[in-house]
Amino acid sequence: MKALIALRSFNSGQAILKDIDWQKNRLIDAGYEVEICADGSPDAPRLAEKIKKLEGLEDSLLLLNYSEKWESGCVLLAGSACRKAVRYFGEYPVSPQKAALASAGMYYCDSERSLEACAAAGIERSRLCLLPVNYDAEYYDGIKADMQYLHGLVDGNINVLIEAAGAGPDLLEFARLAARKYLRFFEKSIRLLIVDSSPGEETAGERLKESFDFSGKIVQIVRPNLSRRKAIFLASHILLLPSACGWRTERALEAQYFKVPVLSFGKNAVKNAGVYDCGDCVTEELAAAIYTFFHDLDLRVELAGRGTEEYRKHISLDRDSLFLGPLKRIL
Amino acid sequence: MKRIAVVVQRCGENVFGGSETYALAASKVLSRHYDIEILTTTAKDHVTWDNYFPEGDERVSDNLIIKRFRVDIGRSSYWHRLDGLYMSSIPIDFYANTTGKKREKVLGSAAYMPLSFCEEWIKNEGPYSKRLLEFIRANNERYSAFIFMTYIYAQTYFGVDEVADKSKVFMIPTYHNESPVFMPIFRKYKDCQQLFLTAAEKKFAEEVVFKSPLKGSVIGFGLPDKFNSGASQKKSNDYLLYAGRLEENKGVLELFKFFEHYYEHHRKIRLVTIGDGHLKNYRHEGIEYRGYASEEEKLSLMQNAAAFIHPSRFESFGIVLIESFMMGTPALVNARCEVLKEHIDNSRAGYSYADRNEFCSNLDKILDGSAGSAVLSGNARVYFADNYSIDSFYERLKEIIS
Repeated sequence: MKALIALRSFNSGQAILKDIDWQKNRLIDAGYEVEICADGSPDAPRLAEKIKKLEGLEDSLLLLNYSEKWESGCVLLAGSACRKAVRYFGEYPVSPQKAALASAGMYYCDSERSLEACAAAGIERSRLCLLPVNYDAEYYDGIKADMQYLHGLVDGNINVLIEAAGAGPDLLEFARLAARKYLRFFEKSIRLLIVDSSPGEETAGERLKESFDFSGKIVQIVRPNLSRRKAIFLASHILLLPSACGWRTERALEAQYFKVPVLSFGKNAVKNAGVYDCGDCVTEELAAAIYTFFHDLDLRVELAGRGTEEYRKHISLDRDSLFLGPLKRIL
Repeated sequence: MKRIAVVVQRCGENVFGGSETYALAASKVLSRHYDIEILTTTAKDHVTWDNYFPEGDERVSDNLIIKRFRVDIGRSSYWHRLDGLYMSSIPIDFYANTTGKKREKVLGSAAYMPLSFCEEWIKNEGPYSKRLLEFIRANNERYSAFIFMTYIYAQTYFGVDEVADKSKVFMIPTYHNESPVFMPIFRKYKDCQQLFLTAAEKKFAEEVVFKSPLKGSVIGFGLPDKFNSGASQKKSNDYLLYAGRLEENKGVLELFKFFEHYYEHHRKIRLVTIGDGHLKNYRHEGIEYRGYASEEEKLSLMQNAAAFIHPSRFESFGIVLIESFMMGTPALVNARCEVLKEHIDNSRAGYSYADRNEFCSNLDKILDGSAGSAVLSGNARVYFADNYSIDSFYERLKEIIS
């Protein structure tokens, strides 16, 4: 039995690469000979060749890790006669292109929200299943925070963290405007920390310019190492989670792990017990929500506690069964 | 017989410390009626939390077992750097030395500390034992109650989250006016059943820390009466006694300075100290260091001392003060510690001091006998018997837990 795991690029987030490694190991455990192919070129010739070889084999499986900008991958999947499954990391809005992937026998969604979005896009519910991303943040236990960063950031300001990669340029600009409104209407003690953790070309659509001067009100940090990343979390009071991000994304899970309460905003904002939902708001409303959220200490503590519970639920999931169980149905 | 877990940072013979002493004493008294298991770490040293005791069970008596779990995170230079950052934001003296709006402003600044930073501080303060926490999580059903000792250490902060049924959680927080108590992250204790050592601690927690009424009551403490009625009732009058850590934040350096002045200008009396710490290197001809003393030796020194001195500003109870009262010895305490002052005011078994002049004049009153040292001594015994007898403590604990 052969399985081919396809993805656009190895320049994906750490959580996605970890998840792919996990997919490989689970398929090996299930008796497959596994190959991984990353081919983001326009016609994806290497992937096309490997799919062709796979089609002639019995009990073969093509598992495609979906990426919004990877049209060639979607075309090859749609045209393949293999048994097919799609792994979807719900960082992007549902598109018609994605609905075209409905030929896959099984569709693994990384959050309840992405599952609902896929159902709304016309994919049969019987072929949708929930498989949260294989990520835990425990490795931070062995890492000490960068003290220079920590000293620079823990200075009496309210640090509001947002990840550029998850936000996209529009929502990032929206957050910047909200921070400026906060400064104008509420108080001067806010600092917006924009962190771009994307490893390669898969950025939020704009390459941020690093700003090491923490005295500014909007600070941009590009690809911090783990020690600096830990310092940023330890110094953050709030994580802004744009609506396009799923609840169980790497960012949200890290925030839960570090006890950074989450404030979600934007259309279809994430709704969850551990999240303060600001919804589809204007910038003044987001600024007001940050103010309320920060100054209601009990609310922050309560949501951080619920976030911890969500994180613990996440890491205790039996992901092997969630993956292999539905797979048996299509094989 | 119901089984109860008492969770504390360290426990064992020759483990000194207020909350550790309290945990063991409370466990012993509860073991009259319950199966008690003390869940603790293998640490002995409260500065490094290095693993010292063997991991596993130690049976103390038929109904009392100590279960020790290995420490994963002790106290390192990383924690000291985190602590330095916190302390620079919330200076340790702020509560005692500021008033009114200024105090409110400093208190408000504590709320600005990120929850994530505070949790990292607690985890790295040590002793953090993953196995201890896993044991609690896996053994919820084994115990009908969990008593967590002290608010500040990892076994309590993380441990309460491991008990699914919160009605089983009892905390003996030992809050007092030190900077970490204002960390916002401790607000999660707000809904726990909390047992306070004194009325002053409860008032402090409700009025200053949480700013709202809390669930729980004043549990106090109790000790088996060890007063040696056969010994000479006359005090030796040739030494003062201090028992505890020889550290600056316990007020010991200030005590030494005041004592030096008293020694030079009032009376040449010895100051005997029990305990360890870096201030044992402080040299003065009147100061005598005894290091660690056995329980019997300590109580004997207490009974024979002319006065017991408690110089700390940051106490939630002051067990050694109650022990000295038990031994019929009057005391001189730091007036800036509300808890200690409350003991003195309620017992009329000594005096408090706010500065060097008061230290000297009030010590003179005790030693001159002008205040009637026998009266002070008698008041100490009465205060102990009325409030801290082992039987009444047992009844209070039993009523709350059942």
